[in-house]
Amino acid sequence: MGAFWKYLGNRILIFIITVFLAVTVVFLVPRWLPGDPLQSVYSKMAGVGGGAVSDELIAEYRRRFGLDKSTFDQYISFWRELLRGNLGYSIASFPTRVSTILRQAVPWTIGLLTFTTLVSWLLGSLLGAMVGWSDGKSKKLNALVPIALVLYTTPYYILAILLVFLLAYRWAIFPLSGAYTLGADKEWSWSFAMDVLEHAALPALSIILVSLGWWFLSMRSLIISEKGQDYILWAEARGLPKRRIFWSYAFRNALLPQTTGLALSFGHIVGGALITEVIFAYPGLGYVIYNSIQQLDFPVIQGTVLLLIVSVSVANLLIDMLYPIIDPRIRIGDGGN
Amino acid sequence: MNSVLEIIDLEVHFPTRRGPVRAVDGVSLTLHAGERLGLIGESGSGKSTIALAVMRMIKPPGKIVGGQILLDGVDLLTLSDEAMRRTRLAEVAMVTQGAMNSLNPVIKIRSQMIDGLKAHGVELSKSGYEEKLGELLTAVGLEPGVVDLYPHELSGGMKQRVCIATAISLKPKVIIADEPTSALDVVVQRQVMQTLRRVQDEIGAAVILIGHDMGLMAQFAQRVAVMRRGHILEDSEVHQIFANPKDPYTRELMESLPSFDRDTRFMQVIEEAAEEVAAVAAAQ
Ligand SMILES: Nc1ncnc2c1ncn2[C@@H]1O[C@H](COP(=O)(O)OP(=O)(O)O)[C@@H](O)[C@H]1O
Ligand SMILES: [Mg+2]
Repeated sequence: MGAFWKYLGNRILIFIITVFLAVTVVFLVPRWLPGDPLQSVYSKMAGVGGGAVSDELIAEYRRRFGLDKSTFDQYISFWRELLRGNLGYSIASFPTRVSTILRQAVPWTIGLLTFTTLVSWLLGSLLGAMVGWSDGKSKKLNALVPIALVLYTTPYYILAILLVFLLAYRWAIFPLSGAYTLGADKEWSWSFAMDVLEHAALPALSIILVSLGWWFLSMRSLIISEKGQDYILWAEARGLPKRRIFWSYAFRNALLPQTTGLALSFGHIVGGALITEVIFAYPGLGYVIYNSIQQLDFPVIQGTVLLLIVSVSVANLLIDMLYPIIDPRIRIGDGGN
Repeated sequence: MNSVLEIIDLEVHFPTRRGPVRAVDGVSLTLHAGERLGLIGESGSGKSTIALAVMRMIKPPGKIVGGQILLDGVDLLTLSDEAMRRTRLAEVAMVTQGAMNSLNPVIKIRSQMIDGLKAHGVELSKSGYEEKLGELLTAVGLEPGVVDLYPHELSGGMKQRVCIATAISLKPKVIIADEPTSALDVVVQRQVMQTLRRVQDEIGAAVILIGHDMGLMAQFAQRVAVMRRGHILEDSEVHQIFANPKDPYTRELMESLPSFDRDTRFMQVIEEAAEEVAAVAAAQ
């Protein structure tokens, strides 16, 4: 028991250190960059106002963003506000709060990517396992290998553009962009749900197709290497039915590394499918990151990067905690003797 | 004595770009009921291929291209896949070469042993399985509690004993042990061989022991077949092989042994073996 808690404590400590470092770096980087992060705001105001911006206004802005204080004071208050869930204001769309922007984007990204990640993982793993197990004996199954290779090596934005061109432009089966028809009532209704699904179809398809290739190839090679294991030979020598050997021995064991891959990619979900979201103008986090970088909107960049790091760390922490349960070899504590 | 396993003119080929490799090239072997046969030969001589052929587990592109493998008069090569599957473990059990890694690392010993029973229609209650596994493990000198462990919690010798316990779980007529102790240290090797010897005696199975340690062979086997390049060169009583090898290659094999072994330990080993044979014969 003791060893397990020590292990857990260790992992949690690593998690805390990671987050601490991430926050610090995220805080420091924009401050190390030359120039005033608010420069874009001043020039915009200058453009609108048709003259130089008054020093008082600049001072007021700097005060609002806390830039008038020492770096150390800023760092302390950055943490204080962070722990309260306050990520500050967006520069580009002042006075919208960063947390509001993130809160609006997160559900779209999570919805789209949870679904596509799960579907492509399941489908890719199953198909890959079947093809790896039959290993060339079935011509039909084997034809999937080159297809998967092509999908895997296709840059996903090319596939996305192709899908948009064919299925939204050439034959207007699906909408071109967005997550819902602009102006539609955002409410829990059948027609709005259908509208959302229609808009999600192409982005989802492009993500699924590309990641499917990867899961397929990875599972296929895992199963092929499983087939050479001594315990598979021994299972056969004990007269176990092929089906049983496949599911309980080869597939079950190959699932361990494959599951790690799944957990890791869940951690990356909040990063959004950046370019896919941009191409489809899908209002998720990827789109937010893209826009905020274009506009040098530091608070928003900080917020999204933090969210990304924290969720990857949480995913890692969960894997570390779950792995001893699914793989007894890593089970810590008093298992032996 | 009637023969339980008869291999006749077995021919196993592996096609390669430079033509087929004749891994087993016209091998005939007879195994009598309850007999302990040693199969020795340099590595690559085709020993494991014979074992896998008997189990009908030669992996493509390898292929059994000729011969017969009669188990109690029935040619295994004519059985359907399903009938052959049911024959494995129940009639012919194998302890495989890579025994250190024979157990699935993520499944408990209990369920791996039960898997073998279930695959042959042995349906017992929970406590029935527990009792059966307990008996099997006790027979090979392990605690019944081992069922609750994972393979990485066992030593090499213990893993090999689990494999032996599983091999005898359906009282097969033939057990093929392919270098069952090659990964173990010397003391454990002896213990495992004694265990194999004891359970073999208890269930009356015939055993083919594949290996290259002459010392262990002499202690275990009653008869030894010497293989080289897919052929059986010599097939004689164990005394015969050591005292008076007929084939030049066998003689070479004997002479290649370290001399202290030949002079001292070997005489001792042969005497021990002779005593054991006599003792067993007397007991029957
Ligand atoms: N999968 C394979 N492909 C090609 N040749 C093989 C294969 N397996 C075994 N062989 C050939 O069969 C011969 C006998 O191998 P094996 O039965 O494993 O020998 P042993 O068990 O006596 O060491 C080897 O010399 C090797 O060339
Ligand atoms: Mg071998």
